[in-house]
Amino acid sequence: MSRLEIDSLKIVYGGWTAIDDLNLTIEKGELVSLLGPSGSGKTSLLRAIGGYLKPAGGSMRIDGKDITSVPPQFRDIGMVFQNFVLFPHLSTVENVEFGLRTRGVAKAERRRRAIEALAMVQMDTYLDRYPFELSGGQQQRVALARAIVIRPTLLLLDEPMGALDTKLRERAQEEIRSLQQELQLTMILVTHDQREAMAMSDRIIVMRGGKIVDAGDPWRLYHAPKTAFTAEFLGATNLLPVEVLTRDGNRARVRMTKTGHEFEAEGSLADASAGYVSLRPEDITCTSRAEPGALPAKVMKRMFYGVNTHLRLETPGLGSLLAVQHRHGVFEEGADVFVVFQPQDARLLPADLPGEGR
Amino acid sequence: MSSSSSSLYRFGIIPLALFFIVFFAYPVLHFLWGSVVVDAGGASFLSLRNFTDALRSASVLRSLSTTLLLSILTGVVSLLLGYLLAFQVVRRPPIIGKIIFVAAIASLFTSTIARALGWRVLLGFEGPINKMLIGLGLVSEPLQLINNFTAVAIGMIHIQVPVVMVGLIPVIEALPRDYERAAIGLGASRWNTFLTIHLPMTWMNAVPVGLIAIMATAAYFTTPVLLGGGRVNVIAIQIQQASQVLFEFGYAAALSVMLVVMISAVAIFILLLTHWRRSVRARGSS
Repeated sequence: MSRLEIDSLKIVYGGWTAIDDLNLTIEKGELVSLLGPSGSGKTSLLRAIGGYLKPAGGSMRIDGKDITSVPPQFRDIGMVFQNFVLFPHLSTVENVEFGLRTRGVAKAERRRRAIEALAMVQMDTYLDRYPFELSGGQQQRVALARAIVIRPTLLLLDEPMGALDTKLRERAQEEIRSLQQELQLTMILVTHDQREAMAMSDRIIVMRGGKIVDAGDPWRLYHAPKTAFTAEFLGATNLLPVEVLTRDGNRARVRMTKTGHEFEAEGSLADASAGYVSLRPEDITCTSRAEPGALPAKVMKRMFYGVNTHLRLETPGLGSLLAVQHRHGVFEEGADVFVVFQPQDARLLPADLPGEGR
Repeated sequence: MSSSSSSLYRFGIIPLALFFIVFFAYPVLHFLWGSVVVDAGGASFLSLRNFTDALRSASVLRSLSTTLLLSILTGVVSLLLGYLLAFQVVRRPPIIGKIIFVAAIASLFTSTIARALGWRVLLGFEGPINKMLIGLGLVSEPLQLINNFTAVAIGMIHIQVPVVMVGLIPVIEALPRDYERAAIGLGASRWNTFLTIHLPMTWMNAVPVGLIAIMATAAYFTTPVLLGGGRVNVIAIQIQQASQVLFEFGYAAALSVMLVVMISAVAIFILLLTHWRRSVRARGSS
């Protein structure tokens, strides 16, 4: 498995710039997710890495070797497509053998390696089945075996869970992650599902409009996003437009632009006087008692999801807020409550336009 | 609302049905009916005599086999060439694809007579092909390229290729490109991808398009006449002579029936073959 370096990559589709001046390094054995809304350029980037799309500029290197103009059949990159695209006229084992056949591997060796790869994904008892006889989850496993059997330098996955139903998806995510760690695969995953990206990745690259807007490990991105876009795209959040009043180290006193309500937030926003405060719904606590610093609120809507309950609150100071509550802090619709949050959970972020490019 | 619109549809089909019956079904059936009616001494009665006469005639049997051979050869070659062209139209950059498409379609707008006469010039004794062969020293005498089966087959293929190409474009477009990407990504060359992935996945939809060329060729008259020089006696020529030279309408009708039966048999064979494959695949997609 290998290291991938991308330098000032540019991709243009008939006049439209899909990717502009993109730099990215992916380390050996790392699982990196490309996350972004449709049109963010994540699929274009994946296709360029795979060699299916010719970049208009920049370069790509695998372990120091320039692959920018190497045709896809000589790149040794494995790819799992969105709908798996197993060859319908070939059996499971023939599908997996395909990449070995093109490499001129002898028949016995080919069969042995194909079965070995299928065993890794627990599909070695389905050798003679045709794709149409397999379930979606089984097809995905075969597609994975077909990609890893060629011992690729990189493994690319294009929305690999897109064709699976929700229950199967989480199990598949866990299995792919285990396989990746076990075989130390360098893996790039394209997804628009932020939950999937967070659950599986070592690192998430958040893309928007053909550029990387944020990158980092899932924990950091979720809890300390650099932009309001990331905060809103990863999980759910309340974005509150504010002005900065005073700064004290990494704390700031801010004022809600609309209501004039003042509160403390984390972050200094050194070069701007206005921005957004991102307040995660699960960091808001609802109580019935008026604690010091608590804000009055009214429960407008209650949505019970089993694992938690979403409350849509209306506050005079902060406007409309979404709060996620567990067993405690669940109130009836129409109830008058108080909301509390800690200053370190209210993250002050620059005022880049949230939701643009969606 | 829905019942009134569906009854409107039901009435709406009547003019079409009448047109079909009056201008197609009636004259054809009337003509074909003539094949089993024989006039003898002022009375007419049902008889298979036209058919037994035709089947006893060596020239008719030769015509049938010539027609069948010409049709199948034209169908197969047109299918292969049309497939390659359609593949280029669909998979090449749009500009190149459009140029190929327009060039192929342009020949469809030219009269088949003009095209056959064009081939007469090209393939003639003094024609450019013979001149080139002699010039290159490949042959010492001009070759007999015209007035034979090969000339007719060339002319027919030239006519059918664009038709088949147009029919195959949607067949090729229907195959998602990710299949080719997957094969190429696994190390297959473009040619290998075409042979091992593309053809096996599309042939069952492509072969019925070749059937169009087979059926159209079987009834062709002008090209065999103009390029065959009287030596390529297809069944269409026999029918024309029976009806317009000998005025044996019953006999001409019997020959027509035989042509229809022969081509239907080919069509049924091909459709059974490909439908069986398609139903296997349909089970897969469900």
